[in-house]
Amino acid sequence: MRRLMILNLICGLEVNRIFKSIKYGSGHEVFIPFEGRMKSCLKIGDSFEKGIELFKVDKRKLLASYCLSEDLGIKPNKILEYVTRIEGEYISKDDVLAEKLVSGGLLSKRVVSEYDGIVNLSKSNLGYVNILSELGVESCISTFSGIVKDVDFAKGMLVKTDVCALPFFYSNFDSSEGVFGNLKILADESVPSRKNIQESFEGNIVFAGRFLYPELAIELFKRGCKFILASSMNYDDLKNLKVPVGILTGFGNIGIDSTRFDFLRELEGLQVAVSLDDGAVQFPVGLNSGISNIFEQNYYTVFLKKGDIVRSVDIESFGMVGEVENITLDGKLVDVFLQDGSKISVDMESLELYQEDFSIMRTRIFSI
Amino acid sequence: MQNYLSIYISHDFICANLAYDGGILKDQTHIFENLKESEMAEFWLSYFRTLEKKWGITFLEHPQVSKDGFLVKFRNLGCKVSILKTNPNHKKIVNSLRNFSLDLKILSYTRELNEDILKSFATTLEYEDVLLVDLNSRFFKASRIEKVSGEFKPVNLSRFALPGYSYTDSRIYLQKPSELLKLLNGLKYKTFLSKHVPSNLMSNIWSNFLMRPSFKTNSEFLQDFVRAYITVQILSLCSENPKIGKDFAVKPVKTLLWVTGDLVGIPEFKKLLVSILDGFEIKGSFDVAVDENFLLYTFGRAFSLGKKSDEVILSKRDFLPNFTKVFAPDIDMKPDSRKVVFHGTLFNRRGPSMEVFGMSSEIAEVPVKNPEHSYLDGKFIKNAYIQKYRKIFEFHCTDNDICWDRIVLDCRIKPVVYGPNAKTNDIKFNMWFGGESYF
Repeated sequence: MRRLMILNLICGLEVNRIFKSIKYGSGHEVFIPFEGRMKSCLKIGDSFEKGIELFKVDKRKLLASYCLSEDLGIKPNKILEYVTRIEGEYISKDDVLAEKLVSGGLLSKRVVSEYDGIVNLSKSNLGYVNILSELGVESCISTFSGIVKDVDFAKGMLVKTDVCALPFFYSNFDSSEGVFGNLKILADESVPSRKNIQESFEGNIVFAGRFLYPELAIELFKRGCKFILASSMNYDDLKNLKVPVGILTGFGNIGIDSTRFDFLRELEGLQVAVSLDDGAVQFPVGLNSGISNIFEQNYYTVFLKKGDIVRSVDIESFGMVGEVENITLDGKLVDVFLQDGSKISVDMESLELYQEDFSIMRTRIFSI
Repeated sequence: MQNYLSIYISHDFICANLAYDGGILKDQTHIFENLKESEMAEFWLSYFRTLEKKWGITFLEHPQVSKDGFLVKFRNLGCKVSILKTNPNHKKIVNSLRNFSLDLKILSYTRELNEDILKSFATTLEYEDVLLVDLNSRFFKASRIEKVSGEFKPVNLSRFALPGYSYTDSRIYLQKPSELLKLLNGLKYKTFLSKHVPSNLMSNIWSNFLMRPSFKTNSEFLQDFVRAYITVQILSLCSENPKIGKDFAVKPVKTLLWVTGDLVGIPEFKKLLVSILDGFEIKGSFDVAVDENFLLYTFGRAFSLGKKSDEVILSKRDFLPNFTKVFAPDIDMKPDSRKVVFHGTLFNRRGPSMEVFGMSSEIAEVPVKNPEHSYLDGKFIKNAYIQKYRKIFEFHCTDNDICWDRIVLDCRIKPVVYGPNAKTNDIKFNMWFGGESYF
C-alpha cells in the first residue's frame, strides 16, 4: 500500500467530477399544464404517437403585454393600485389601462390598450398586465410518443415518456406547476437586440443566446414567451428580474459550448418541459426502449488525459469547455485549448470531465 | 490492524480518509446534490470505485442484486460514514447507504457527537481550551470547550471519567445557495475587502463559486472576498454567542484553535489566520491547526480513544497536521507605529540559527524547518506583552509528538480597524505583510 501511495503522489491523481452535458432518462413523467378550460383530452392509460392531439382547451390568445412596473415606474406588488380595469373586463382600443398621477397630481402617466380585448391580471405580481383575445379553442398536438399516466382536469396531464434533460446552472423559476411549450432559438453565440424582435413568442420556450440582458428578457416575456433559456446572465440583473429564466452555463458573459447548442438546434420546434424538481429542461423524445442502456452512469473520474474534453469551474475561466492539451509533470496544472481558439492553464482540481452524449443519442433517436 | 475508511458528508462535499498501517490516504470532492433516490445506488458505486482507482486498492466486492437494486460488501476494510445532521438530504443519504451496503457504519454527526469528540480530543492532547471553527460555504460553526477545574464527568465515548469541560457553540446556517447569494446585498462585506472589484463582477464570481464550489482558486478577487466573508461571519457568530470567543488565548492555559471547512484552502494561510484573528478579535498566544482533510470529523473519535478504539489506532504523527504557534501581544503604542516589539532567535540544533524580529503594525511568519531540533528564545520589548507569558521566554517547537512548523507574530496594534474602503484596506494589508520575509 505504501508503494501505491507514493505512485499516486507522483501522478498527482485527483478525483474530478464528471459533468454530463445532456442527461438521458427513460420512463420520465412530463407534466403538461392546461392553460385554459379543458374541453377534451386522452384518457389515463392511452398511448399516443407523434402528431396525435393530446387535449383541447378553451384559450384566449395573447394580444399584448404591458410591463407596468417599467412603464409607470412602480413596484410589481403595487400594480393593482394603478390599473383602472378589473380581471376579465372588456377593453377597447385606446382605452386607459393604467394611470399614475405624478408631480403632485398635475400630470399623469397613462398606459392605453392597443387592442380590443379582455384584461388579464394573472401576471400582475410580476408587473405585467395582458390583453387577451376572445375565447378560442386550442389543440395540443404531441411531437413525441408516450403514455398518459394521469389527468387532473383542473391542472393538466401527466405523461410518461423518455426524455433528454439539459440541466440548469441556475433558475429563478419557482412555480410548482411547470412550464410546457415549443422550443424556439432566438440566437446562438450572438447577443440579439430587442429592437429587432417583431414576432410573437406565445406558447414558446425561447433560447435567447449567449448572454441575456434584462430588457431582452422583458421584451420576450411581453411577447408571450413562457420561459427563457440563456447561456449566461449577470446575477445582479437576474435577481431583480420578474421573468422566469434558466441559466445554462454560469453568471457573467459565458458562451454556450457547441455540443449543447447543436442539441438545442436539432430540437428546435419540438415540445419541451421545464421541471423544477429535476432542475432541468426536459426534451421528450418518445418511448425508445433500449437507448438508456447506452449511457453508463459515472459521476467521478480519477484520470484526465490529453485529448479529454473538460469544463472549467475555475473562477477566471468559469464554464469554458475545451480540450486537454498538456498536463504538467506533477499533475497539478493543465493546459486547455478552448473552443474559441484561446488557451488557459487551470488547476487539475478545477476541471470537470465533460461528457457529451448527444452525438450517440442523435443517431439513435432521429433514425427511429 | 484492519484498514479503516471513514467518510464525512457535509452539505455539498464528501471527504474520505483511509487509515492503514503506513498513514492516512485522503480525498475530498464535491457531492452531486440533486440526485434522485433511484440514482443514489449507482452514485455510491461510482464513488467508491473511483476511490479504489485513486488509491490503487480494491475493497469493494462485486455487487449482488437485491430488492433495492444491488448490495455491496466491503472486503478487508472497516467503513464508517458520518453525515452532518443538518444536511437537507440527510434522510435520503442515510437510506441510500443502508440500501447500498450492510457493511457500512452510518452515523449522524450531531451537536452532541461534536461535543463528545471535542472533549475527548482535548483531553488526549492535554489542551484546556479548544476552539473548533468550521468554515463552510453553506454554514459557519464555532464550538468551544474549556476545562472546568476540579470537575470530573463521565463521557460516553471515552468510557472513563474525563476532566470536566464546559461546551458552547454558535452556528449560522444558510442552506440554499439563493440565501447565500442574497448576502451580497449586505454592505458589511465591502468594509473588509482589500481588492476593489465592480459589484456586478463580484456578484457573478461569488454566485458561480457558490453554485460550483471548489477547494482552491487562483482568483485574487475570490480569495479576498472569502477572507472578508470569513471575518464577517465570525463576527456574526460572536454576536450570536459572545462566550464563543471571549478571553480565548488570554488565560494561562494550553489553547488550541482547530480550523476546518471547505473554505480553508481558498485564502492563503496568513490571510486565513488574519480573518480568524480579526473575526474573534484574538489576543494572546495559542496553537493553530488547519485541518484541510476533515481528520477531526473522520478519525477524531478513533484518535482520542487510542488503543481502545474499535475502528483504528492512530498515533499523533499519523493524525495531527503540523501546528502553528501564534503570538498576538497587546501593544501600547499609537496606531501605525513602526517599532521593534519582539526580538528573538530561532535556534536549530542541526543547522544555522535565525534572528527573528517582530515590528509593530506587522505580521511576521517564521517557518521552522526542523521542529524536532528547534526552539525560539525571545522577548517582547517596548510596550508589548502577552498576559500569560513572561517578557523573556523560550518556546520548543516539538512537544509530546506535536510539531510546530511555523511561528506567527501578530504585532498589529489592537483593535484592528478596517476601512473605509478597499484601497485603504489594501494599503493596510501591504503594511501588515510587508515586513521581512523569513522564507
